[in-house]
Amino acid sequence: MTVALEIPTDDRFVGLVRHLAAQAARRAELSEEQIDDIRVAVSEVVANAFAAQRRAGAADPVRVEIGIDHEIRVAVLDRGDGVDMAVLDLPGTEPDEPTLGLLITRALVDDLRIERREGGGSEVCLIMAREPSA
Amino acid sequence: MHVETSEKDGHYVVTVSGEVDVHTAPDLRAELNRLSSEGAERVTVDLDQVEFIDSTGLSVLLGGHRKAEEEKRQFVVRTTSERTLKLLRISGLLEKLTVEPSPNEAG
Repeated sequence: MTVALEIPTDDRFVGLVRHLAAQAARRAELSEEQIDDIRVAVSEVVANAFAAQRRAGAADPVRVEIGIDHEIRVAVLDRGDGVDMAVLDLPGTEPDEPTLGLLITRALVDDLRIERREGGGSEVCLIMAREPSA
Repeated sequence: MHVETSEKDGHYVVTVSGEVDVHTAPDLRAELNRLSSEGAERVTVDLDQVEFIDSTGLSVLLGGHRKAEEEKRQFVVRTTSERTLKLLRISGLLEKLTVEPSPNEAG
Protein backbone atom coordinates (compact mmCIF):
# COMPACT_ATOMS: atom_id res chain seq x y z
CA MET A 1 0.00 0.00 0.00
CA THR A 2 1.35 3.42 -0.92
CA VAL A 3 0.13 6.82 0.22
CA ALA A 4 1.16 9.79 -1.91
CA LEU A 5 1.00 13.44 -0.92
CA GLU A 6 1.78 16.76 -2.51
CA ILE A 7 3.11 19.11 0.16
CA PRO A 8 3.40 22.89 -0.33
CA THR A 9 6.93 24.01 0.61
CA ASP A 10 5.93 25.67 3.85
CA ASP A 11 8.01 24.58 6.86
CA ARG A 12 4.87 24.34 8.97
CA PHE A 13 4.00 21.17 7.03
CA VAL A 14 7.17 19.31 8.00
CA GLY A 15 5.48 18.39 11.28
CA LEU A 16 2.41 17.15 9.45
CA VAL A 17 4.45 14.80 7.26
CA ARG A 18 6.43 13.39 10.18
CA HIS A 19 3.26 12.68 12.17
CA LEU A 20 1.80 10.90 9.17
CA ALA A 21 4.99 8.90 8.64
CA ALA A 22 4.97 7.92 12.32
CA GLN A 23 1.40 6.62 11.94
CA ALA A 24 2.46 4.68 8.85
CA ALA A 25 5.41 3.20 10.76
CA ARG A 26 3.02 2.15 13.52
CA ARG A 27 0.82 0.47 10.94
CA ALA A 28 3.90 -1.37 9.59
CA GLU A 29 4.36 -2.62 13.19
CA LEU A 30 7.75 -1.03 13.69
CA SER A 31 9.07 -0.72 17.24
CA GLU A 32 8.56 2.47 19.27
CA GLU A 33 12.23 3.38 18.85
CA GLN A 34 11.99 2.84 15.08
CA ILE A 35 8.88 5.05 14.97
CA ASP A 36 10.81 7.79 16.78
CA ASP A 37 13.69 7.30 14.33
CA ILE A 38 11.32 7.58 11.35
CA ARG A 39 9.91 10.80 12.83
CA VAL A 40 13.37 12.38 12.82
CA ALA A 41 14.48 10.92 9.47
CA VAL A 42 11.33 12.13 7.67
CA SER A 43 11.66 15.60 9.21
CA GLU A 44 15.21 15.80 7.94
CA VAL A 45 14.54 14.74 4.36
CA VAL A 46 11.36 16.79 4.01
CA ALA A 47 13.03 19.93 5.41
CA ASN A 48 15.96 19.37 3.02
CA ALA A 49 13.57 18.89 0.11
CA PHE A 50 11.73 22.13 0.93
CA ALA A 51 15.04 23.99 1.02
CA ALA A 52 16.13 22.42 -2.28
CA GLN A 53 12.79 23.29 -3.86
CA ARG A 54 13.17 26.93 -2.79
CA ARG A 55 16.79 27.08 -4.01
CA ALA A 56 15.64 25.72 -7.37
CA GLY A 57 12.97 28.43 -7.49
CA ALA A 58 10.30 25.80 -8.08
CA ALA A 59 6.75 26.73 -7.12
CA ASP A 60 5.31 23.23 -7.29
CA PRO A 61 4.85 21.14 -4.13
CA VAL A 62 7.20 18.43 -2.92
CA ARG A 63 5.89 14.92 -3.48
CA VAL A 64 6.04 12.42 -0.64
CA GLU A 65 5.25 8.73 -1.13
CA ILE A 66 4.93 6.41 1.85
CA GLY A 67 4.90 2.67 1.18
CA ILE A 68 3.69 0.48 4.03
CA ASP A 69 3.94 -3.31 4.44
CA HIS A 70 6.59 -5.30 6.38
CA GLU A 71 8.67 -2.16 6.09
CA ILE A 72 8.14 1.52 5.56
CA ARG A 73 9.53 3.25 2.51
CA VAL A 74 9.46 7.02 2.27
CA ALA A 75 10.34 8.70 -1.01
CA VAL A 76 10.65 12.49 -1.18
CA LEU A 77 10.83 14.09 -4.61
CA ASP A 78 12.00 17.64 -5.17
CA ARG A 79 13.38 19.83 -7.96
CA GLY A 80 16.81 20.26 -6.39
CA ASP A 81 20.14 18.84 -7.51
CA GLY A 82 20.37 16.35 -4.67
CA VAL A 83 23.38 15.74 -2.47
CA ASP A 84 26.31 13.47 -3.10
CA MET A 85 26.32 11.32 0.03
CA ALA A 86 30.11 10.96 -0.26
CA VAL A 87 30.38 14.40 1.41
CA LEU A 88 29.13 12.79 4.61
CA ASP A 89 32.29 10.70 4.83
CA LEU A 90 34.78 13.50 4.25
CA PRO A 91 37.14 13.69 7.22
CA GLY A 92 37.14 16.72 9.46
CA THR A 93 33.83 18.19 8.31
CA GLU A 94 31.91 20.07 10.98
CA PRO A 95 28.41 18.85 11.74
CA ASP A 96 26.50 21.57 9.95
CA GLU A 97 23.29 21.83 7.99
CA PRO A 98 22.21 20.34 5.67
CA THR A 99 24.73 17.51 5.93
CA LEU A 100 24.01 17.13 9.65
CA GLY A 101 20.44 16.13 8.84
CA LEU A 102 21.56 13.58 6.28
CA LEU A 103 24.22 12.23 8.60
CA ILE A 104 21.58 11.64 11.28
CA THR A 105 19.12 10.18 8.79
CA ARG A 106 21.64 7.72 7.42
CA ALA A 107 22.44 6.55 10.93
CA LEU A 108 18.77 6.04 11.85
CA VAL A 109 17.32 4.19 8.86
CA ASP A 110 18.11 0.82 7.28
CA ASP A 111 18.74 2.28 3.85
CA LEU A 112 19.06 5.79 2.43
CA ARG A 113 19.48 6.58 -1.23
CA ILE A 114 19.56 9.85 -3.13
CA GLU A 115 19.03 9.67 -6.87
CA ARG A 116 18.74 12.16 -9.70
CA ARG A 117 15.38 12.09 -11.44
CA GLU A 118 14.99 11.98 -15.16
CA GLY A 119 14.04 15.44 -16.33
CA GLY A 120 15.60 17.14 -13.30
CA GLY A 121 15.23 17.05 -9.55
CA SER A 122 16.16 14.42 -7.06
CA GLU A 123 14.55 11.63 -5.10
CA VAL A 124 15.49 10.70 -1.56
CA CYS A 125 14.33 7.26 -0.50
CA LEU A 126 14.61 5.83 2.98
CA ILE A 127 13.64 2.39 4.21
CA MET A 128 13.07 0.99 7.68
CA ALA A 129 12.11 -2.67 8.06
CA ARG A 130 10.14 -4.28 10.86
CA GLU A 131 12.46 -5.90 13.38
CA PRO A 132 12.05 -9.69 13.59
CA SER A 133 9.96 -10.49 16.64
CA ALA A 134 11.85 -12.10 19.49
CA MET B 1 7.46 24.67 20.69
CA HIS B 2 7.51 26.88 23.73
CA VAL B 3 10.57 28.67 25.11
CA GLU B 4 10.68 30.17 28.58
CA THR B 5 13.69 31.87 30.13
CA SER B 6 14.23 32.36 33.84
CA GLU B 7 17.15 34.01 35.58
CA LYS B 8 18.62 33.56 39.03
CA ASP B 9 21.88 35.16 40.19
CA GLY B 10 23.01 35.71 36.60
CA HIS B 11 22.30 32.12 35.56
CA TYR B 12 19.81 31.97 32.69
CA VAL B 13 17.81 28.79 32.18
CA VAL B 14 16.04 28.44 28.83
CA THR B 15 13.35 25.78 29.19
CA VAL B 16 12.24 24.38 25.84
CA SER B 17 9.12 22.27 25.41
CA GLY B 18 7.25 20.76 22.48
CA GLU B 19 8.67 20.11 19.02
CA VAL B 20 11.89 21.74 17.80
CA ASP B 21 12.14 21.49 14.02
CA VAL B 22 12.84 23.60 10.94
CA HIS B 23 9.69 25.62 11.58
CA THR B 24 10.20 26.34 15.29
CA ALA B 25 14.01 26.25 15.77
CA PRO B 26 14.44 29.89 14.60
CA ASP B 27 12.53 31.03 17.71
CA LEU B 28 14.99 29.19 19.94
CA ARG B 29 17.91 30.67 17.98
CA ALA B 30 16.43 34.15 18.43
CA GLU B 31 16.15 33.66 22.20
CA LEU B 32 19.75 32.41 22.49
CA ASN B 33 20.93 35.37 20.38
CA ARG B 34 18.99 37.73 22.63
CA LEU B 35 20.66 36.34 25.75
CA SER B 36 24.05 36.45 24.08
CA SER B 37 23.63 40.07 23.02
CA GLU B 38 22.58 40.94 26.56
CA GLY B 39 25.84 39.42 27.76
CA ALA B 40 24.37 36.48 29.72
CA GLU B 41 27.40 34.80 31.28
CA ARG B 42 25.77 31.47 32.13
CA VAL B 43 23.10 29.89 29.95
CA THR B 44 21.58 26.43 30.40
CA VAL B 45 19.21 25.14 27.72
CA ASP B 46 16.89 22.63 29.39
CA LEU B 47 15.58 20.11 26.84
CA ASP B 48 13.86 17.73 29.25
CA GLN B 49 10.38 18.76 28.14
CA VAL B 50 11.18 18.52 24.44
CA GLU B 51 8.96 16.01 22.63
CA PHE B 52 10.84 16.15 19.35
CA ILE B 53 14.10 17.61 18.09
CA ASP B 54 15.92 17.21 14.78
CA SER B 55 19.09 18.56 13.16
CA THR B 56 17.76 22.10 12.90
CA GLY B 57 17.35 22.18 16.69
CA LEU B 58 20.76 20.58 17.18
CA SER B 59 22.32 23.19 14.85
CA VAL B 60 20.88 25.96 17.00
CA LEU B 61 22.52 24.37 20.05
CA LEU B 62 25.83 24.06 18.19
CA GLY B 63 25.59 27.71 17.15
CA GLY B 64 24.91 28.76 20.74
CA HIS B 65 27.84 26.68 21.96
CA ARG B 66 30.27 28.11 19.40
CA LYS B 67 29.28 31.68 20.11
CA ALA B 68 29.58 31.18 23.87
CA GLU B 69 32.98 29.57 23.39
CA GLU B 70 34.21 32.54 21.36
CA GLU B 71 32.97 34.97 23.97
CA LYS B 72 34.15 32.84 26.91
CA ARG B 73 30.66 32.43 28.31
CA GLN B 74 29.19 29.26 29.78
CA PHE B 75 26.70 27.32 27.63
CA VAL B 76 25.23 24.07 28.91
CA VAL B 77 22.64 21.72 27.41
CA ARG B 78 20.57 19.83 29.94
CA THR B 79 18.77 16.61 28.98
CA THR B 80 18.04 13.20 30.42
CA SER B 81 16.08 12.08 27.35
CA GLU B 82 17.48 8.91 25.77
CA ARG B 83 16.01 10.12 22.51
CA THR B 84 17.84 13.45 22.54
CA LEU B 85 21.06 11.83 23.77
CA LYS B 86 20.91 9.35 20.88
CA LEU B 87 20.73 12.19 18.35
CA LEU B 88 23.52 14.12 20.09
CA ARG B 89 25.65 10.97 19.95
CA ILE B 90 24.94 10.22 16.27
CA SER B 91 25.62 13.79 15.20
CA GLY B 92 28.90 14.00 17.10
CA LEU B 93 27.57 16.86 19.22
CA LEU B 94 27.80 14.95 22.49
CA GLU B 95 31.57 15.48 22.45
CA LYS B 96 31.31 19.12 21.36
CA LEU B 97 28.62 20.46 23.66
CA THR B 98 28.67 20.60 27.43
CA VAL B 99 25.84 18.25 28.38
CA GLU B 100 24.52 17.73 31.89
CA PRO B 101 23.96 15.57 33.74
CA SER B 102 27.08 14.01 32.28
CA PRO B 103 25.73 11.14 30.09
CA ASN B 104 28.51 8.85 31.33
CA GLU B 105 27.72 9.44 35.00
CA ALA B 106 23.97 9.18 34.41
CA GLY B 107 24.38 5.81 32.70
